Amino acid sequence: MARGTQGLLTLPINLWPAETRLLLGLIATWSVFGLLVLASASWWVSQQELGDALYTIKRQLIWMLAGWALFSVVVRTPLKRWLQLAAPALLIGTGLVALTLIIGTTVNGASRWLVLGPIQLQPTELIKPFIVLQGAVLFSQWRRLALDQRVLWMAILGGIILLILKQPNLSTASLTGLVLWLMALASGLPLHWLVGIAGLGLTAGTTSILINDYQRLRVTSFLDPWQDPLGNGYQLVQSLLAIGSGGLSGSGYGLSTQKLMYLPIQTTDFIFAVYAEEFGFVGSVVVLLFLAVFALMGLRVALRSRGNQLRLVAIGCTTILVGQSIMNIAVASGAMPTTGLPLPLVSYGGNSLLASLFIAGLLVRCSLESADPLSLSSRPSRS
Amino acid sequence: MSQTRVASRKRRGRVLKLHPVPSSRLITVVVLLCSALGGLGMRLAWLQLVAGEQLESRARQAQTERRNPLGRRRTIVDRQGRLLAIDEERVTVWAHPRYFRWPGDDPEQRRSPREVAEKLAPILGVSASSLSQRMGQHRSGVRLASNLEPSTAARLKALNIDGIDFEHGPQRIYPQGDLFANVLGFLNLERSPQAGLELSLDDKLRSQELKLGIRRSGDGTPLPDGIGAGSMHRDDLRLQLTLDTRLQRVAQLELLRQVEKWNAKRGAALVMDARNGELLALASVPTYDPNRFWKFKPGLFREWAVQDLYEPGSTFKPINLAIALQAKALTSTSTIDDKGSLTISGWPIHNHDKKAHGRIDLAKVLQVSSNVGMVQAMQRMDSRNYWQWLNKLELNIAPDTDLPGAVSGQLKSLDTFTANAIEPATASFGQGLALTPLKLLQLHGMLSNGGRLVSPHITRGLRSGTELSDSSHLSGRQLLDPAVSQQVLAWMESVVEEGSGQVARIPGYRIGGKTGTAQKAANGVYIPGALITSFVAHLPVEDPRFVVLVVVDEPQGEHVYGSTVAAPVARSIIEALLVIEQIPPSKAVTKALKTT
Repeated sequence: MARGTQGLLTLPINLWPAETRLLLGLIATWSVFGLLVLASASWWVSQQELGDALYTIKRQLIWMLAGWALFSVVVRTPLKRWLQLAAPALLIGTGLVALTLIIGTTVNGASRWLVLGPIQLQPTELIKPFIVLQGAVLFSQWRRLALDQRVLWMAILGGIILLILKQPNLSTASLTGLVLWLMALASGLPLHWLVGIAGLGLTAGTTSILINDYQRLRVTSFLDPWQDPLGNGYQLVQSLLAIGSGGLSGSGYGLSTQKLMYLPIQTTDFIFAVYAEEFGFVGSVVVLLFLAVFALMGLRVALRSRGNQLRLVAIGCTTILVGQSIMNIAVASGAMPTTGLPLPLVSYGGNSLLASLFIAGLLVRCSLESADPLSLSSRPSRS
Repeated sequence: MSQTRVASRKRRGRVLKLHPVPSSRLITVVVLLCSALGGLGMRLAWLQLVAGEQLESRARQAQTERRNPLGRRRTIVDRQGRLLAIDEERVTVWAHPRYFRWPGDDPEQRRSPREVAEKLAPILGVSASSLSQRMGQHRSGVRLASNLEPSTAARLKALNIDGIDFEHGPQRIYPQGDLFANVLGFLNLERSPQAGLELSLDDKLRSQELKLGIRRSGDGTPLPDGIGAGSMHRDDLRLQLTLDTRLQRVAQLELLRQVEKWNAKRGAALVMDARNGELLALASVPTYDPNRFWKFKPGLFREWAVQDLYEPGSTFKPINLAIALQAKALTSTSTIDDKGSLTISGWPIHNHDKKAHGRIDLAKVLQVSSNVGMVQAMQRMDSRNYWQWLNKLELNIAPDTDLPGAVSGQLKSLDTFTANAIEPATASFGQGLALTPLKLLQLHGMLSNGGRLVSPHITRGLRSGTELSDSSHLSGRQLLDPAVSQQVLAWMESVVEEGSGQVARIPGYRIGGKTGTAQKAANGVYIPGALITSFVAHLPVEDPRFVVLVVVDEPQGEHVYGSTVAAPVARSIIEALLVIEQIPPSKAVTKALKTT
């Protein structure tokens, strides 16, 4: 195993399998694309509010570099190690999420942040890779687990989701639940189980919506945003106006009008609206096709991976990146109630960027390990 | 795929614990993701392709601030470029007590109207209590002050009080006050024109303002998008009049003095450049201040010299003589036997002083303003021919002029005129027919300019910036021979030198003139004691150019004649005109003047 790691580390990129290189290319393209879109979406607001048009993009660039450093570490580290780390990391992450409820910084009524000196930590973002990893660990050997183990882990995962809900952060909670469910689906668990869990999740979601006024308002305003275009429907209406203004070919890069203080949170939750206004339906289709290609590449990695854990990590990583993108775009286009999810690798935010590149790194690592003959000896499924 | 399935089944069969992840499930997950992407694609196609146009227009509507034209109006200037009517920026201050807050206050805190009033009062120059009283219990939309100078508004703005709004708008100002009110008219409080040129030339006075839609960002910053070249363009055209403020002021002052002195009903003074019909003065008494129009009776808002008819009386005699000369019914040497009175179809006709002048020439007829002489002179003309001449002078047609509301005169029909000998007889001394002072001025202009019927007018045109228009060229229909008009002018000069118009004599200048004292008629009956006095003057006779007409309506008292009431006004106007137009004297004046 040590030799295998060694071998991978020294393996130059041009000797990597074509699939891995293509995957790397997709991720790099996605990152550059994200920076370009964010640069356009952020400069006006940064200029108006902070006096520096480049304020946002400079910070994002630094985070992007840090993210790629993390990415290369992830790619060079055997997946097995990450899988071993998953459980303790997840528990620590859960603790941090719990901590946000106590000492978290409250933004827009949600306590999502832990302030550590100059750095703001968002535990809900940082635990995402470990949820995928732990999900892979659990579901790959689900049938071999004793009942108490199953119950314990179900409780832990359910607890995490409830904690995230408590922040309140319905969007991340539902994304986490959705990804875990899809991984469980992928792992081959019996369908009646999955349907039961899904029913449980939906009930929990519905209850949350009924209990929390802000969530209920969002759902009702999502159904008919034009009823209150200046109040609860404001964000969605502005987003729809932006996307609609794009038309077929868009207004051109940098020329969105809606981003000029009409569209709220235009650098994170509604960044897709800015993009869609500037690049039109053509641009939107390009992004959707890109995501589909990415999902198919993820599928290819998963299918070629030998070992359940590898397969589940690959499909989990693909699902969380593509799924989060889908949810973000669905929110911006009014296909889903307004929830605050960043668009991976595009939206402004260091935590989200690190988590996304971590996850992307895991996927690339899966691709490497499934292809490199030296890694066959360290197939996680055998451990 | 099927192979894997088979393999997994086999493995499941052998080792229960090994449960490989089925490829079909992996594919299912990705298919789910891709169908979600497909769904999003359809949603976006709907938003961007189907509903796109509607959403875009909605967005543009929200992003675009429509600037309604402020309704700026062009400046009006006199012939020298002096400002007669201008738009000035004025500010209205609105208070919304529900938002009253000092800068730096807590967002939830509100100040009382009393506190705000105390801050505003010293700047507005009113008491704080009156301000807070005006606000009373109103929550919003209280007009605190209007017509503020922008500088005052700026001082209020510097206080930075939340809940105080400023509305900027143009306000029409007439710097000369009542001097041109009769000509210019005014705008009401809604800036809609109510009288005068403001009304008749409304569409020309309105500035060309494009409806401008400026795209703005959410915080109000204007965006350069969609603002093409020229969309910010504003022309600076000004309407230039032919009137001269200095002459107008002299005319107005002298007229007012005389009207008050004689306790007259009203008066008008007109000065025309006969070469092209430009009016240099059109003063009217009584008049009103267009800056405070609401304090005056609406009856004052019309110019009677243009809109009201009167029987001109003796001032029409020179016109008659010109017609008769032109028609060859008279010659320059014709003489008349004036017996002081005569009877036409049973109607007695006297001279105004009932004197008989014996055999006199036509110059004398004018000098003594002999009615009997005029009747006899005009009797040498066939009445049909006479009527046709009056018709040719367009007595019964509204004159071609830019003065608002000009009306046509009254001339009896040809049948009536020729059927009864009294009709041409009264017409020969200017009774029995009616015209406006403006029309009479036009007819006299014909004597001054060598026989052309010019269009009297007061506008020269629109010019950019400080540029001034040129005066228009010679115009008008030639009706008389220059020799005829010169002959009549020579007779009129003798009226000033030796006759009833001596008041208007100015040493060194050759001036022609004619007085008029006519009876006023209403519904075909002469009103006893109601006279309308007038005086018309031409100058300088050697190169006639200017016609001055003064009409004073219903002066009261003894010795009410054109020579006593109207002529002094004309003389003052002529004196000012000589200076303003720098007309050199025609002849040496006195030895004393020569030596100085």
